[in-house]
Amino acid sequence: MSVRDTAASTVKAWDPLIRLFHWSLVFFFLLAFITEDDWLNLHVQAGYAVTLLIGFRLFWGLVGTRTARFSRFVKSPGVVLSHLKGMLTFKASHYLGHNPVAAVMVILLLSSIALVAFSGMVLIASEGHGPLADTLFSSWRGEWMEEIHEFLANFTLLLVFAHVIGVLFSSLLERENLVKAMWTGRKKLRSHWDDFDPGQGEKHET
Amino acid sequence: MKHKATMIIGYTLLASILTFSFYGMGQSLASSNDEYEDHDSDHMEYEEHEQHSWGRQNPAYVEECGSCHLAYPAQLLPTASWQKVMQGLEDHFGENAEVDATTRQALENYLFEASSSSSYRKLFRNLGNRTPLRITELPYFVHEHDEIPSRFIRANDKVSSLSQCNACHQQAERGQFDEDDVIIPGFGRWDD
Amino acid sequence: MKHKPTLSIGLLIAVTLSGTARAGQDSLPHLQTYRQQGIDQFDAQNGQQLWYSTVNERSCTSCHGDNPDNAGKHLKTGKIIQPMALTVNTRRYQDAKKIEKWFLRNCKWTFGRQCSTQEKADILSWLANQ
Repeated sequence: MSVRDTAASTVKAWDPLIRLFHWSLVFFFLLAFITEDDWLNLHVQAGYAVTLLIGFRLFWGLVGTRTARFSRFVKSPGVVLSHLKGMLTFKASHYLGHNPVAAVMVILLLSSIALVAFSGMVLIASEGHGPLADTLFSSWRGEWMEEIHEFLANFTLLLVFAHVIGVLFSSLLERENLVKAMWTGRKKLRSHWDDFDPGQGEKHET
Repeated sequence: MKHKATMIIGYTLLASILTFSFYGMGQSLASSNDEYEDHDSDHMEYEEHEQHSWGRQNPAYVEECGSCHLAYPAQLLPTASWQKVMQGLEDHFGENAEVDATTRQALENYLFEASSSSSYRKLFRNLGNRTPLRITELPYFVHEHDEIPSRFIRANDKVSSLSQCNACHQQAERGQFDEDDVIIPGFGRWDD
Repeated sequence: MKHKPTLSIGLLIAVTLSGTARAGQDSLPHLQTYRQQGIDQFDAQNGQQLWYSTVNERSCTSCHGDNPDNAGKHLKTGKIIQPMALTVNTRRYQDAKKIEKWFLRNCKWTFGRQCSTQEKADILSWLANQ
């Protein structure tokens, strides 16, 4: 098989920015988690990075490529449940972008991480540090925020585990290496997807 | 063209975010690296205990201020607290700790510089503008030690006071107060 | 004439011994410093008296203990203080600055005042012979 043939059997699914965002978030979130109590300066820096990345994702989710847009993959509860049922009965369905259940995870993760970052910033604001220092948030009780911050961080980690398990499960079910797809940006060319027409294969436009 | 513009904006935005983030990360690593004298090369060990320059203390300070008690690391109090301490050496918690003018100057130079830091420190959490004379009065300190039964400290001959850090913190003289290095005399390791 | 050598030897030994005693005392450089400051006589007896005296429930022995041969303990912090007796702790009293520093602090704490040069000389000469 020539290189061209191999290339032809895949299609672009994730644009470079989505991918770069995803893996940067993984890196900085893990960094923040590892440095939690011991390397506070680094921890705070990682937190800022995470915040900015989330901000970027929100922006990109509004104006970015079609698989990046929230409006394209966020579905109603009914659709989510039916997709979930399908997964649990091992009926594979294929999406070029995020499937409805994955979409829920995306929303949960983005929200959870955002809250962790926010609570972190409120925490240091009570010490006079960080972007929220001179705002009303600096008067929120430090001890409470610490508990909240820690709880949210652990909850996020839980979501991350669920996310990883979900990705592995879906990969097996759909016979597609979804982790690789998030790296290379390419998925197998199929005759049918539940979210996009095959005819629009290579295009990134909406 | 609208599409192209969006891509360009997107790339620029993400590139700046990542540059800023890695730069910030580099800065933190660099500043903590400088302080840790014994560190070999660039290898970062994330299991490492808190990195400070606490272990690298001024010899004059250790000599003068460590003759009756542990030479408490300068970073454990805000600069304003140290100023108060140095002003009251004749009645230093009931003891006379006077030093001559030259020594005083040397100690102050060291203490004031070593205790000043603009970066965020969890040690001063909930402290506000207060300037306690005792490290044991720092809210963070209180919080860290509030689960210890008094029989381990006050009622313990070999400890008697929370001011005697080195009674339990075996690495206190090296400026390390990690929980894993705590052995309470007569009781053993702290098991949280 | 047979007893002459014994007598001479005896005298020689006595002189040497007393010389040694004085050498232990006088060989301390800091005591020389006090000499230069006008102190011609060291009264070790007085030094001992000062050491054991109590003022407002405070005494040198509060931290240094009852016997200068033994280690003492800081009253508040419990920090071990090496023995003050020169014969036990032979490295003591070599640093003038250190001696003066502790005299300043501790006389003030114990007696509420500074010790006079005579008093310091007396105490030091007593400790040098312990």
